[in-house]
Amino acid sequence: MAHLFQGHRIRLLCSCGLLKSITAIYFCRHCLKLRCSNCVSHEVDTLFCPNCLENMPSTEARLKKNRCANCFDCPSCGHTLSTRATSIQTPSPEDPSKTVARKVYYLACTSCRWTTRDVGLKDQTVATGGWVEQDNEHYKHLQSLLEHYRSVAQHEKLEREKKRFSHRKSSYLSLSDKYSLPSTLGRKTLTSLSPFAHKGDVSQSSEMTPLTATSEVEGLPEDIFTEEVVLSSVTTMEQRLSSPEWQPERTADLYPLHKHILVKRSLRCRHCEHNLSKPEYNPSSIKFKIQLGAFYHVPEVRMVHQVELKSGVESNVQLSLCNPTPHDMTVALLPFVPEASDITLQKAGEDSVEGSSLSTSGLVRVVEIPAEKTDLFPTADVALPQGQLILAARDDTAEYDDQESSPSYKDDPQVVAWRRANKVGVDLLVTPKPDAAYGRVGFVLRYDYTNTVATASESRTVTLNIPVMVDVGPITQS
Amino acid sequence: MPLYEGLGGIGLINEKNTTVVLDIGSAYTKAGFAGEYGPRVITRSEVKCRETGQTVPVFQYKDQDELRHHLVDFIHKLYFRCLLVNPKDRRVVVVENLLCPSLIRNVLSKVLFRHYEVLSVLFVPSHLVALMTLGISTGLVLDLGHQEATLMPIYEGVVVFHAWQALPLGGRVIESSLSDLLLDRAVAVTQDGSEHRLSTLMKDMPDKCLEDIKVRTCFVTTLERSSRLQSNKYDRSVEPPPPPTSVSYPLEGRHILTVPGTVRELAAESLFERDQDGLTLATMILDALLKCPLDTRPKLAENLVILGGTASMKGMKHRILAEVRAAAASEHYRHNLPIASFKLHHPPAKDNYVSWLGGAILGATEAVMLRSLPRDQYLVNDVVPDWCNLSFNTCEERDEKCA
Repeated sequence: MAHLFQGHRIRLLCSCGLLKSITAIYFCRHCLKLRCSNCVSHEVDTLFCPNCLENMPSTEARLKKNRCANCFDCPSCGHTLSTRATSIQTPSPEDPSKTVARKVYYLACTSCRWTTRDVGLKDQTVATGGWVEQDNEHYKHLQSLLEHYRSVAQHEKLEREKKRFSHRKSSYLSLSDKYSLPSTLGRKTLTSLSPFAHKGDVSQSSEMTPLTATSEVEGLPEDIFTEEVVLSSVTTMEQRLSSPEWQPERTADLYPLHKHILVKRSLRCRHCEHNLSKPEYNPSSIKFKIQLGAFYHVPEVRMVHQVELKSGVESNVQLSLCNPTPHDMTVALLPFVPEASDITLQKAGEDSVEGSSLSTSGLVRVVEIPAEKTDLFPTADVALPQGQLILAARDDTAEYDDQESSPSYKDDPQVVAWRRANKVGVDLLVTPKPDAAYGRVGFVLRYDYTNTVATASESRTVTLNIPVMVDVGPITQS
Repeated sequence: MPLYEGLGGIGLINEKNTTVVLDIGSAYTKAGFAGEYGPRVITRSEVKCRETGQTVPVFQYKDQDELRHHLVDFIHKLYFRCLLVNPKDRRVVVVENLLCPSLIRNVLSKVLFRHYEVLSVLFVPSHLVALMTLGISTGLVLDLGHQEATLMPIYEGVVVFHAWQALPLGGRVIESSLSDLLLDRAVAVTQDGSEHRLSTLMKDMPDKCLEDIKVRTCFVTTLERSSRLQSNKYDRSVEPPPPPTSVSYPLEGRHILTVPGTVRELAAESLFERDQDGLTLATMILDALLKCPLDTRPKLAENLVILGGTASMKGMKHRILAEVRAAAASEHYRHNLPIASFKLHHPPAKDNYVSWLGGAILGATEAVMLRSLPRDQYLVNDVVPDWCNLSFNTCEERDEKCA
């Protein structure tokens, strides 16, 4: 049975040139083309903490460096830390001779048993927050550097502006500028070669003290040749890099990490800028506001049986076609055409809709991604059923209906093997080519798609062609 | 002069579309935002291969298309897992080694401009921007990476390019020598309690394991001990120094590997052994100085900067400085290169992200707007300006820039 659901055996050729299974492909209703994750533009939609499922606006996320304020990860193993409460005896504020129980909180990892007490962090009196943030030790120096280089760049920009301005004015004298050393150039080379150094007036520079080099560097610790290495007290690379600015070398220096937040992505067609997929805003919802998956719009092709292929012997491969749309669909299988002609075929079908996609996108200039090269060479010859067939519309109640309710189609028994609700079975005759190890056949699925984006100017149904590749199975040599 | 320019400039810096700074290394990638004091993430430069589904290094590729796929997937991960911002219409600063192959550079810009539609890309030389973290403009920068060690002298903000040095000495060499030493000398206790030589249990060690052993147990020994170990190799009568203690290391959850003290000490020695041309890290520095103009040499020697992940190994900088001083006193260099003092800088960052930090400082200034390559310009002719491409690097163009 498993082969029924082996979606990767049937792959559609996306408009970018990659073969992908129908579950990984989107169908842009506006361009009427297949799109996949490779050829859509991804966007960050909502940011949320995966632990507390709290939404975070992007401004806040930027301030908090994409980390949740309340949830922590274990610096040792990466598991989420949980807050533990315990009570300690402290002297009562009224009467120092008596002690009262006070609740304090610390963080503990339920996976590796690391606690904030292990590294000597004080327990907190409040359940959430209160943990002191680590500071970058070089903060001051880096801030002054940043200011310094900003003013240098600003200066450079002003100078450039000035030059452009003066250049325009002195166009009469451009000849002398060209052949004699211009005064500006002369000054530049004399003062400093550096593009980042100050040119001329130094008064603009801000406070910045360059660091100085030393002739001695810290050597190895004295005891390294005699000291026993306790492996558990030295951090691993992962532990170090999980806090890039500090990179603690000993486990005693580990510090609880704020949990990194995650995003929900929305996908947008590059050509018409319409959303192909947009999740709901709520982080705990797994539904979508917009989801233009190909399995809602493109007839789904599946293999019905696993077929034993023998080299050079014709065998019958049955495919089922399923109509996911609520409109009847005319379908035909055409011989597979190599890339180039395949595109023209698609173009022919799409010329009529070109206008609509342009009108929606206006002046947007599309940045084309490089075309993908995929091996599209079939390893078996296929005889496709001739003629058209009609796929009944999808009817959600049909499954509960016992009676056969679609006898009205006049099917050509040469084409249609069986028919059930919105599904139709067709037979292909596959003859593997000699010395091929794996049987792969291709065909072009031509179907009439009922356009759901209502525009008055054009007909509602459009004929689309989608190249399909079927991995039939391994070939046994006879 | 337009009066509004200043305001607009400040607006662009503080605008919510902060510039992204990427430093894609052969082992680890540093990514974050301009104007911040540390990268948001340092992650392995690894990606899931589209065909096999296995995790492979980004820069391990058969052809251009495969590299492009790797980079597309990898940058997708960086933006949507780590940085959590829209790549579209955002500036990017890429910190790159000047010796980076053009293919990688071209494919990377193709990916950024075409797949992610970034607003502009600015490639900055990693050695040069590393000096910006120190606030100096002259220095001899040695980048000890995973794959290779590259060196560029920089004088007054200009890379002295003809004096560049590069040797395939880096973290990978240490790991492979560690692997050889372990397979040669180490023993491991298996689950049933019996002791076996490591070479009988496995043919080669997994890379992650080697890196872990290197990071947690190995160190770079002192020059004095190293020379005693060397002389012991040829003359057994010389007493070797007492070895450091050995370490028990759990291997793949099945064996207990004993890492001998000698291995801990010797693993990094491969960086300091002279190769067939007599080259090593110390001679790289001295040879670069020799190629620099005479007057710049003392100043460069007093402004050494050593960075890169491998430089953060215990004792590494100390050893390099000692080696350089020893080599400078040797017969070959004493006459050609009479330099009294060598001094080393301490960048205000961990060694593995110094260049990134430089890129982040540069990225926060208006230089990004003036110097970067905008998308429109790239889309017209599909090329990135490159120092090694004569069509961008002729005298004419340089003169125009100066004028």
